[in-house]
Amino acid sequence: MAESSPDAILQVRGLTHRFGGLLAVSDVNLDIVRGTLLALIGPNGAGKSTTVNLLTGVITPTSGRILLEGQDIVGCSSSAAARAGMVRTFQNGRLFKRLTVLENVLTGADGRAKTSLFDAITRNSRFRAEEDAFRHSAMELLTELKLDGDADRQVGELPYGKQRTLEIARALILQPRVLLLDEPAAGLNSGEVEELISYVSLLRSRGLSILLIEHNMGLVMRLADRVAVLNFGEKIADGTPAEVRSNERVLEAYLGRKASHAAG
Amino acid sequence: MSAQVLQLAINALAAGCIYAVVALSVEIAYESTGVVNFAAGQLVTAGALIGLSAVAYTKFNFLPAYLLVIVGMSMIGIVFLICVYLPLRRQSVLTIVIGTVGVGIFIQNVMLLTWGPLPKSVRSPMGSGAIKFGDVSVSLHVLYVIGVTALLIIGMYLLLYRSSLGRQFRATAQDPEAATLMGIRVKQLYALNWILVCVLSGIAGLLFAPMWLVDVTSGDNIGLKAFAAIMIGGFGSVPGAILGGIIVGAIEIFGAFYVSSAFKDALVFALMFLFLLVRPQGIFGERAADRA
Repeated sequence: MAESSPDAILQVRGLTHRFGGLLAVSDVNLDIVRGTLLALIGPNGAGKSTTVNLLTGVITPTSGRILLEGQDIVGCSSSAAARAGMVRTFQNGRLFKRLTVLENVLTGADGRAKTSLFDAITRNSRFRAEEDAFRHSAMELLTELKLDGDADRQVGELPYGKQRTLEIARALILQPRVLLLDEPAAGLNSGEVEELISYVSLLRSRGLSILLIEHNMGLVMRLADRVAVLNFGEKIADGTPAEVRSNERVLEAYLGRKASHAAG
Repeated sequence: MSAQVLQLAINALAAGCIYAVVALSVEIAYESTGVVNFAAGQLVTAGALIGLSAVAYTKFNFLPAYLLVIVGMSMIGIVFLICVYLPLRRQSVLTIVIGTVGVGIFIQNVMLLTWGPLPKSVRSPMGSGAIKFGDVSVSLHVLYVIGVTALLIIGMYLLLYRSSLGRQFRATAQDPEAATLMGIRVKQLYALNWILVCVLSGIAGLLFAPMWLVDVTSGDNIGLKAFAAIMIGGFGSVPGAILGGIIVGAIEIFGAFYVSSAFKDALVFALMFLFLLVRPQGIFGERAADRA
């Protein structure tokens, strides 16, 4: 098992997934160095969503390994993968709309709870101490993200931009080892995108490792330490933003199609 | 005259409480899993009959007997989870709903084999006493039914809206996949859900049994009335289930007295049809378009 670079928090080796006869993801290798941001890009249908689903245990790969801090998490259920530290946000917003803002963040904390169902039913002191600690850190997060004033509002009432921010808060409270941001800028206005960029940079500067799946190339080029490019389920390039930007295959496969994609 | 109305109103409230508890159990299953539990009526009977045997077994020590009922109903919930819900979970909801119909038939026949077809009378832990307020005489059991129901409703509210468990419960109900990806142990919550459903139905059985005779089919009617209560109160609304239950109880008791006891069920279902025609979302229900 020795592709031992101690700095890699996530190592994906030979990740392959077949839907029937279709190779959705084919022999993909990815590395995230601790405290850095890897952007995963590619045209629609390149296999980005499938990769995210594989990483988070929603689907089990046909073959390949996913090493999180050296631990293979292939075969883990998605809730176990989340508890192991692989936490995602959702492209199209999967907040619990009929819960309040604070409750949404706390559901993230619940996944981290050390106390058992029994503790929760009996509400013993261990449970109450943990719940208080969760509430405290949830409020801290909300304050940092300027959502503290909305803590008791139903999520369905929040403006879209705040909902996207809240998703990040809900993921962060799980204390992820790797945070998967699935198109966090989708639907945001330019001011909100700027806030997102500075917040993601802040998270990285605190040492969080991030996998960013994004269509917005401006965002990718500004944030990414490295960029991996998927096309038809295969990784066609992997390098610094500058290297990827000048890579022939990428220009052909991805940037060449971008104009037609945007028009469509 | 007014004393009589008051007396009827209290009896109506007690009957309504029983429908409300069953409606609450159906509502919880629906909210958290999307499954309409058609075994509710049979679970009510199971609670009543297990209660009957448990009370006899403990020689009329009601507290341990009722604890036995709760344990028994929890076990039914776990068996249902393992044998029906988990294997069918990935199928369409309708498949599971049909599964609950099958479970209902199964439970009913097991009860028929165990307890036989004859109706039985069941004692109340409150005995058969009554208190008089002027001209109004209220049986202690009726007050007990109302009190227990109030406690159950408060308890369910605290559980669902004031505890971390309830938060996870509601999150899972809204989006099980996202809940899983937030690290929530969804299967444990499903277990809790079916245990709650069975225990609530069982308690409804314990409450109703001393008021009427119990046989293996007596819960069926209660289950149907609970569905009527939910239709009237509004599918997807917990307060609606409670209010609907009380409305059904009121129509039944007042209808039996002022119209005809032969028509009391017809009146309940006539109101349900009226709601389906005029206000299909019920009193508190959201319109289908508002959900999702």
